[in-house]
Amino acid sequence: MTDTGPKTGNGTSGTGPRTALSSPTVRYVLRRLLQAALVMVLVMVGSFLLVKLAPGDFVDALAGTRDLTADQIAELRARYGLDQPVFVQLIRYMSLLATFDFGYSPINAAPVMDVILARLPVTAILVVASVTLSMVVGTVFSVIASRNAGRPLDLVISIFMLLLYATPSFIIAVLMILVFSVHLGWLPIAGFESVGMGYTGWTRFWDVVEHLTMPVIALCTFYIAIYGRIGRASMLEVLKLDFVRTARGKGLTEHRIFYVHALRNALLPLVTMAGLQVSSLMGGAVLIETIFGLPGMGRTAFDAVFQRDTNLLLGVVFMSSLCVVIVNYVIDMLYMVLDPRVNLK
Amino acid sequence: MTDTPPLLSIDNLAIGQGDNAPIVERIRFTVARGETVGLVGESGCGKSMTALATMGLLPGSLRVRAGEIRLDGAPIHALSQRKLRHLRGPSMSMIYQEPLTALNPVMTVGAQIREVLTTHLGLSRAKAHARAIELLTLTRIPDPAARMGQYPHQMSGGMRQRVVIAIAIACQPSLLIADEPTTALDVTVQAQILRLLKQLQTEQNLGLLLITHDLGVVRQVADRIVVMYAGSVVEEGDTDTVLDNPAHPYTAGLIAARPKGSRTEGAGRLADIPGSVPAPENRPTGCVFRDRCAIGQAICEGRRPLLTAHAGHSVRCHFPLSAASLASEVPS
Ligand SMILES: Nc1ncnc2c1ncn2[C@@H]1O[C@H](COP(=O)(O)OP(=O)(O)OP(=O)(O)O)[C@@H](O)[C@H]1O
Ligand SMILES: [Mg+2]
Repeated sequence: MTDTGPKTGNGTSGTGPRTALSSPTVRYVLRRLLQAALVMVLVMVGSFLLVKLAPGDFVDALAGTRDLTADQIAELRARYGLDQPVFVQLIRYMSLLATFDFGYSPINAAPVMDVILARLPVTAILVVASVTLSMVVGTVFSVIASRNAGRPLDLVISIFMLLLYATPSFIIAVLMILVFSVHLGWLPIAGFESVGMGYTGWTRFWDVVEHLTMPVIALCTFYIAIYGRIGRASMLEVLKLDFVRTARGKGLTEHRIFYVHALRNALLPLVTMAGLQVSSLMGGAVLIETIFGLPGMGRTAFDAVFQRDTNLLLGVVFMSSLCVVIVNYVIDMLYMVLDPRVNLK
Repeated sequence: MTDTPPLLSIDNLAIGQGDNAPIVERIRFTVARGETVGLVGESGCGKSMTALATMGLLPGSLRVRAGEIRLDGAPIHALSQRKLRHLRGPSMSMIYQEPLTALNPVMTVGAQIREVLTTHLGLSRAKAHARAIELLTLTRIPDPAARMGQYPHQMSGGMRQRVVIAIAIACQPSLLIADEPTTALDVTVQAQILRLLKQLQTEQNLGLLLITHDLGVVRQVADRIVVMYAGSVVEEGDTDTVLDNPAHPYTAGLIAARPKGSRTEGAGRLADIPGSVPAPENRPTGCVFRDRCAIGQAICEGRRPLLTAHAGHSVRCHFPLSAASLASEVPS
């Protein structure tokens, strides 16, 4: 390689000619995009084949609930291409997907895209709120516990964390409904917002907050315990490192050593955990969405499976995977900001 | 008494964990203002722990179990962490054995120097920044202003050690402890760092406690030498006196084991002395060195020798070597 251009501003290894493609940042982003596209294609092909492996399609599900003649059944199958070989169906589906056409959802009598766009916000709000809340609360607990390591307060917190860890979220959900909705009447039992009230602006916002408080808490408890425990262990580990001794040897206050030097290092594993939490909540909140009657992605997938609505199910899978891929990308970026040792690689 | 007390005086110091055998015992030496004292001894003999005890930074459940550490005459071994905090930085500071891990990986070098200045001297951020660049310049680091925004992993071991030194001298302490400041670095950098330390020491009239394996280094920079073996001081005195006429058989062994012509690889392994340093719980009764000593006799097993004056230096031995008996063993 000839070294013609000026050094890239990166200062570490920029010796090539300066084109957009040789900038490490651009190359990194391109590589990540390619990876993401590949992952999405694999996920979709895999899911498609899995769904087709299961016996029955939505026409069977439909025929189970109303009387259809054999002709009507054949015609329905032909209309949706269900009479073709699986391989042909796959090619057809994938080529439509390439144009962001998710097809039609028979059970909702609407395009899959419309159904998903209506429900994605519910899940997005749930996920963002629970990840934020569990990270903040978990970190606070881990900080208090590690500052008081070995003292009674540490023990109390660790028992509480164990309790949160061990109690299934649906039990917490049901208990909360009993206490706060049934007995005290403070919070609405179910739904995303009050239907038919025509709330707008802040009134609507607070209405949604009231509806989502319990589901978000139910989705948080397990992760609060995870963050609390990982954070405490990580903090105690970091506090033993050499640079903490240096910080102490510099005569810094314990407060500064703890919150400025140790905490930032100790938080790194929690960020990784947050990525996992987003992935698992994206489609995995079915139980909580069902209990609280929330029309989220998990709930939608669940219905799609039972009514053999292949297009809708695959659409949900696509959307959830896309979100997971994006979130992982954001987490990597965040990691790079938090830990300067991590490079664009 | 009208004498001003020495800058650092350690007397009868013992460090240990609970009821376990003490890691170091009856440590006694002083460091005067502007003086360089070399603390030498084999790996594991307790040099670092003695230094960390002085700073009040003993790890885990290690504690000062007996004795005194005085800084400018004032006892500091029993001070609370809160009080010690005000001494660390402005009165004493330390350069640690492992420059590669001594700095916070997620903070810029600049921020790590600045915070000492803002904490102890109350400088504003801008003033601290300017002063930090000055300090880095003092350490002869190339391109100091650009270093400020870098992270430790972007620097070589030698440069990181310079940053650690800049932090250590930031508040112009009167005592600087350097714990094997060059062992982790390569040979050419070692010499540079030593020269830098010696120069800073003269310029700022620091009392320098230099911990090392390397007798060549001690000969070069130290006014006095303290030799430790298995947790005790076995010999102490003027560098030249001790190195030319060692009175303790262990010191003599250290000198003899030093490869000729090499300034760097020190007496890590003692080819001439059979055996190795016993762990704290396996130290022999009486003289700690007796089971490796060629001239040991019955009394060495029964009674622990005291640190006694002998021809211009102190030695802990029942049978101190005389200059004559050693003439054949000391490399000239
Ligand atoms: N955290 C600790 N708890 C208990 N004992 C320890 C601890 N750290 C070190 N020791 C013991 O203290 C003794 C002295 O260790 P120290 O680090 O002071 O030796 P050193 O003379 O500095 O050796 P080196 O030349 O290898 O640095 C060793 O026997 C070691 O096992
Ligand atoms: Mg050491």
